[in-house]
Amino acid sequence: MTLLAIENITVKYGPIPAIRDVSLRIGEGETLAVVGANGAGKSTLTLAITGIVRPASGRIEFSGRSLLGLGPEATARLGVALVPEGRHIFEGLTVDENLLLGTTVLADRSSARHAMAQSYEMFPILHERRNGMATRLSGGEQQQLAIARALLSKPRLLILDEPSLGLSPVMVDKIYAILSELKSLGTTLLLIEQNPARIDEVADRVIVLSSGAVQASGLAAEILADEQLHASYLGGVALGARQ
Amino acid sequence: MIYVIQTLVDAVSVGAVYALSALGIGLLFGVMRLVNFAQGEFVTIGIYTLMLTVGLWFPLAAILTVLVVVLLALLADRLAFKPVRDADPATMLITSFALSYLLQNVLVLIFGARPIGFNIIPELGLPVMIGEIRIPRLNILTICVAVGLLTGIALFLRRTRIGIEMRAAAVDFRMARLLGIKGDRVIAVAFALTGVLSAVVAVLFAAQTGTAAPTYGLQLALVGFVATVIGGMGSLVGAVFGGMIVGVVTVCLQALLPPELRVFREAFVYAVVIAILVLRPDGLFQGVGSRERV
Repeated sequence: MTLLAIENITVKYGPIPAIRDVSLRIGEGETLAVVGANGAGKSTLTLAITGIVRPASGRIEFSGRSLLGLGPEATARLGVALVPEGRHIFEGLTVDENLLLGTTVLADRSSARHAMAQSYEMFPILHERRNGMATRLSGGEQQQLAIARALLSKPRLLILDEPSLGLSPVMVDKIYAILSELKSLGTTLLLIEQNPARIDEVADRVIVLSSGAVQASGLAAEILADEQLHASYLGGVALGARQ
Repeated sequence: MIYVIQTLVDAVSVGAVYALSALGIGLLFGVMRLVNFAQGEFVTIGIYTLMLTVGLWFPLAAILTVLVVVLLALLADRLAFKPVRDADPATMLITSFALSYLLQNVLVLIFGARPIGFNIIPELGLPVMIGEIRIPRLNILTICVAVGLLTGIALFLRRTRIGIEMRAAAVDFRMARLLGIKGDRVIAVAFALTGVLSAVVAVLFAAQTGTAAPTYGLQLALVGFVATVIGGMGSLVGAVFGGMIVGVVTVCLQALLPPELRVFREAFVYAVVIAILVLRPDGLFQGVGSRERV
C-alpha cells in the first residue's frame, strides 16, 4: 500500500527551480533512498514533503491525503517525521528536554512518558546523558538524539536527510545499525544520502536525483550496480565503498 | 555609606523595571526575531488603565490592568503581526512602528498629549527605616515584584512544556514546527507574557511617577531595546542583565555627576552602552540574534 505519493512536483526559489517534475512513491514499510550530489535538490524534496516550502506545481499525498498547504506542524501530526541535515538539536536545552519535544504530537502525558522510556532503552547513551546539555554530545550522539527525537512521535514515515554526514566511520556503522533495526521493525524510511556507499544495507529502492530532476530509479541492487550512474551523477563514488 | 546604600537600592529598583521591560522585548525577539516597539504602547495603555481604575481596590485595578494589556498584546499579534509573519524582518519592524504610532495617537485623541496626574497608593511613597537607612516602600515593592516575576518566568520557561517549547522555538523555530509544535500558540504565549511584563512595568512606573502621558511607554521600550542589545539579542538572561545595567548606570550617574553635567546624563549612559558594544559587539551574553527565523 502506498504511504507517500509525490507526483510531478516542482519547487522554485524565486524564478529558479530547485526540483523539477519529481515523482516518487513509498510503500508502507519500504525504505526508499534518494541519492544525488550536492545541490541535486534532495533537501528541497524533504522541505516540500514536510510542508516547509510549497511546491509551485504537482501533488504530494500521504496515506491518500494531500499534504499541500498543510504546513510543518500539521504534517508532523499526520505522522511524518524528519531528521534534518545538520541534526538541528536545540541549543541550551538538555537531552531530556530535546527528547520531550519529540513527543509533542502524542495524545497524552502517559504515552509521552512511555515513549521516552522506550527511547532511552533503545538509545542508552542518551539515558546516560539525559540531564546534560544536548550540544555537549558528540556528533554521533547528536545524530542518535535527532533520530530518537523523530521516532518519539511514532511516525508512519521517517525521513532522514544525510544521517551519516560528518560522522566517524564507527558512528556511521552505529547509525546504519539503527536504520537496519528500524527497517526490521517495519518503519517506513525515506533516506536521503549524498554518499551512496552504505545505502545498500537498508534501501529497497533508490532514486537518483541530479539538477533537481529524477535521472534514474529502480531496485536498490540494480541502481547501485550501475557504474555509469555513479560516474555520471554521484561523483564517481565507488559501489559498495565504505566510509 | 548610608547615601551609597540608598543610591544602590534606587539603582536596583530602576534597573528592575528596565529589566522587566527588556525581558518583554527579548522574549518576542527570541521567538519571532521581532523588535516590537509597540511594546512601549502596551505599557502606556497599562498606565492609562490604571489611571482609569484608580478608585478601585488596588489589587483588582492591577489585575484589570494585566488583563487589558494581555488582551491588547494578543490582539496586536492576531491583527497586526500575524498577517506579516512570513514577511522579511524589516516589514515586521515597520509594522511594530506603525502600531506604536497608531496606539500613541489614539491615546492622544482620547486623553490629550499632556501628562495627567493620579495617585495609586500614597503610602507607597513612605520610607521604611532600616537603621539609619531610609528606603521607600515603593523601591522594596518594585524589587520584590521584579524578582518574583523573573523567577516565575524562569520557572515557567524551564519547568512547563509550553515554556520548553518556547525555548526551543527561540533557538530553531523551523525545527520546532517540524516536531509538531504549534508556532501560532508559541507566539501567542510569547505575546501574552510580554503583555504581563508590560502591565507590571506600567503599574510600577505609574506608582513611581504618578502621571500618565502618551509617550511614557516609548521611552521604556527604547531603554528595553538598548538593554536587550547590550545583553545580547535573543538572550533572555542577557536582556535582564542589560536592563539592570542600564538602570544602575542611570541612577549612579545621577548621583555621581556634578549638578551642571546631570542634564547630559543620558549621553553618559549611552557612552557606557557604546563602550560595552565596542568591547562585546554581540552583547554580554551570546544570544540567538544572528540566526535566521524561518
